[in-house]
Amino acid sequence: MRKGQSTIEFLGTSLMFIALLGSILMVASDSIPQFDDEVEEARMNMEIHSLTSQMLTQPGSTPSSSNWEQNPDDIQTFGLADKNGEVELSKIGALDDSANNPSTLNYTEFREVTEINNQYRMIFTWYPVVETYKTFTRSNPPSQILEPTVSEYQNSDNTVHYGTAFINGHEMKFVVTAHDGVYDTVYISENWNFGTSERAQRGQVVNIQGMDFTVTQFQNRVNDPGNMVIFSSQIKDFGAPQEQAATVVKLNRYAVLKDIESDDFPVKIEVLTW
Amino acid sequence: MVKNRKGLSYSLEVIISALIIISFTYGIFQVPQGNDWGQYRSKIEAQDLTQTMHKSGIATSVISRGETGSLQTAITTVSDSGKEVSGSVTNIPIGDVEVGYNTVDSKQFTPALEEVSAVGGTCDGDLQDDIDTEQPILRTENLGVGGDNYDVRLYIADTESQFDESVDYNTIWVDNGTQCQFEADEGPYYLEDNFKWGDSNKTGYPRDYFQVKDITAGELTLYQSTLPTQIHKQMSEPLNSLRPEVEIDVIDIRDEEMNQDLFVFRNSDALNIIDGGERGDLEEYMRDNPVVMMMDMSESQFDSSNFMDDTGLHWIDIGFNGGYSGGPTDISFSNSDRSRNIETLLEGMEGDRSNIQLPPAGPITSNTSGTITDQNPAVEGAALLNTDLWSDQVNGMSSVSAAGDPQPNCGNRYEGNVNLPSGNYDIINTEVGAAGSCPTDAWAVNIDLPDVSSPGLGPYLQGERTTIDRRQYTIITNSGDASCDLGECVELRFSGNSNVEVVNYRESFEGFDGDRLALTGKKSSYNEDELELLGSLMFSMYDSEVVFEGRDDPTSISTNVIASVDNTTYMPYQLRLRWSQ
Repeated sequence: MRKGQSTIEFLGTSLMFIALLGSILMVASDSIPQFDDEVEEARMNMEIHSLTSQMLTQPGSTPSSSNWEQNPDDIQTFGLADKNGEVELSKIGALDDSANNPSTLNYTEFREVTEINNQYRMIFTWYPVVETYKTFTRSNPPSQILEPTVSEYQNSDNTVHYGTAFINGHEMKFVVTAHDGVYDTVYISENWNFGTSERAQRGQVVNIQGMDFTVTQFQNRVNDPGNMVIFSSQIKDFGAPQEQAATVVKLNRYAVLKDIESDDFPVKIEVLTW
Repeated sequence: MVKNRKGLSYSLEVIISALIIISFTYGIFQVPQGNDWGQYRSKIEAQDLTQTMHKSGIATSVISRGETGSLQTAITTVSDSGKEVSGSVTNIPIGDVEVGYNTVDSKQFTPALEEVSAVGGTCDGDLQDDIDTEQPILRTENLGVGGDNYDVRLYIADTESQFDESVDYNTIWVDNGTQCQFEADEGPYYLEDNFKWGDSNKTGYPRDYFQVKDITAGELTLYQSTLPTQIHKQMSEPLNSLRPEVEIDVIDIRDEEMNQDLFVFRNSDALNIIDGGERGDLEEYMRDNPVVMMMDMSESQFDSSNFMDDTGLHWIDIGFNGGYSGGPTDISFSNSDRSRNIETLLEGMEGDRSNIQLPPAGPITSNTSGTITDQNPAVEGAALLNTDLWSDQVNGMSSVSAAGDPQPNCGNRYEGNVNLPSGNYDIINTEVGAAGSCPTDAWAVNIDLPDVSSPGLGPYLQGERTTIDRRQYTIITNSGDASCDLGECVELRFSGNSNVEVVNYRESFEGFDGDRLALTGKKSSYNEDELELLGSLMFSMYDSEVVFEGRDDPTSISTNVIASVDNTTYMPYQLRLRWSQ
């Protein structure tokens, strides 16, 4: 009988070879999911950026017009812009998740015209920024202003700020007061008679010309406190219901909302994709 | 034994090979670090927010009022997760500006004081009723400033005595002959306030302003502040809807430190003070801050000032042209950045330049452009320097051999000598032309300057220009004199800027490191438009930059906006923002 080739060295080498193959397979299989995740995240970020940039820079079109919101059934390209960085309220208003309404663009139609791969949801929040840099001393207002009569107004600090803003077709008047040096209360009126105006503080909802707004922030920083009050109102929530997905990418875009019935104010567009 | 060693060696080879293969394999499957998509999205959001604030008009509206905090509030509120922003606004006058003015001995006053009750006066009782004071009320004696000129007394009281016995007199009222019936503009005034000491019924004397510098141990020290107050009034008016906050401070630089944003010297006496020991403090200040000098100077004052010598400004010894003797003259603006900036600010103040006549400090040039007079001064006057003296016309030149350079020539050449401020130079005037084309009647001048090889600087044809000793000349090869044959007469005509510089301006200096210096003359009185020009000059020299900080430290994400405040005039500004994550 010939002496066998199965020496201790051969066995050791074989085991080493098996271990080598096994470790290669383990390393490869661990890296593939991570690589796949990176690629997916990159793709989602690029798509969301591309889609939202198109929304903010292009008006969209039908075969005959850029006013696709007048005839959404014929939409060829999608966009919300009037000019670069300015979006039209009429176009936002034409987005509607309800199915089969020829005067609106639903989510399915939106996906078809934009040819997007992922699911999307967009929340539009409008922020009227009211500048209240004019002032008077409480109890000594300009002749056209009738001060609020509520007791909280009488207890406010002496310096009162006021201003106007054109919202939903009407020039609204605002008075802002402070307590203990912090501006925290606003009174709203359609004219300069605040006698029946209720006070509103941060977080409260007020109705301005038929639309609900939340009192969001008062300017209390140096340069100059009291000179600004900011409201917010969610004007559209459009898209797929959010799912429990492995990766959700959120990108906020901002633009000026163009509405002939209001001054130019910022709008925030929260875009989620998965 | 040998077989065992062989087997072992084979095993070792395998082990080493396996390790090498594993290393390469690990490298191949190493997934590179992914992009920071969070920062990518933050950059997009920052750019959007910046443009939105600009396009909606919110940024310009609040910045024009200096409300950097309002801009921060708007951005933080509108953005998701309350982004904080820091930044700066440049190129428009917003925010706080403090202008310092120097005073000299002749403008400092210490009027004598007396106790009112001690001399049987009656105002003491009226004031005593209106204020709480335990100290006797004082008043100026009816002498000297205020007394001789206006017959108007100042009343001085210690209104803090019930709070702090250590506080000395601190309050002044001005009794314009109304028997202690004080109007709102007649008091009370406190330390560093500016008040008007005069009587509107006595029109023979100007209604001077004074700043209260000190009231100590019964002695009152006042610094005259008429011009600063007048300029301050114009600077405090809305400027193209902007509302900068301007304060003035009159100091004696021998006693107090210069720490204002901009400093003004308004008497030529100040040169003696600067050269007499305050030069070091002034240079220290000028390293980071601008200075304006308003003074009329004589040539001897200018030449004897080491500071003036080191600024690089140049006294033109030819003086002024015609009947002009250095007084106020009409003004205009040039194409330099500084000049355009002053002009824009003047328009923002709605100043009428046709109503402005200002004097230069002297026949002085800024001497910054490599030529002795500046083509684009900060503010130019209609009056002229006597630069004709720098020109020379040479008649009756001698005909000489046309051999030699310049070539080609037609064989006609004249030689002469031109007399310029830098010296006398031989010149030749040669008829030039290609063979067969002569006579051409085209002449070229060469000028024999030191360190220029023969035949000298040139050749220059009719109308060409050259610079000799920092003076720009136009060459006239045939001066047109009726007595001259063609080519026999040549003129070197000074063609640099002959207009006086009403405002000289320099950004670098020959003897020291400094920021900016403007020099202009001084009038005894100014109209409103002239004060607006002076105010524009102050704002221009200040070069405003307002910086604001957010509540979080900024990251590397930054955005810029170039916009403009566009009310009565187009006034661009730059907004730089740095964002927190």
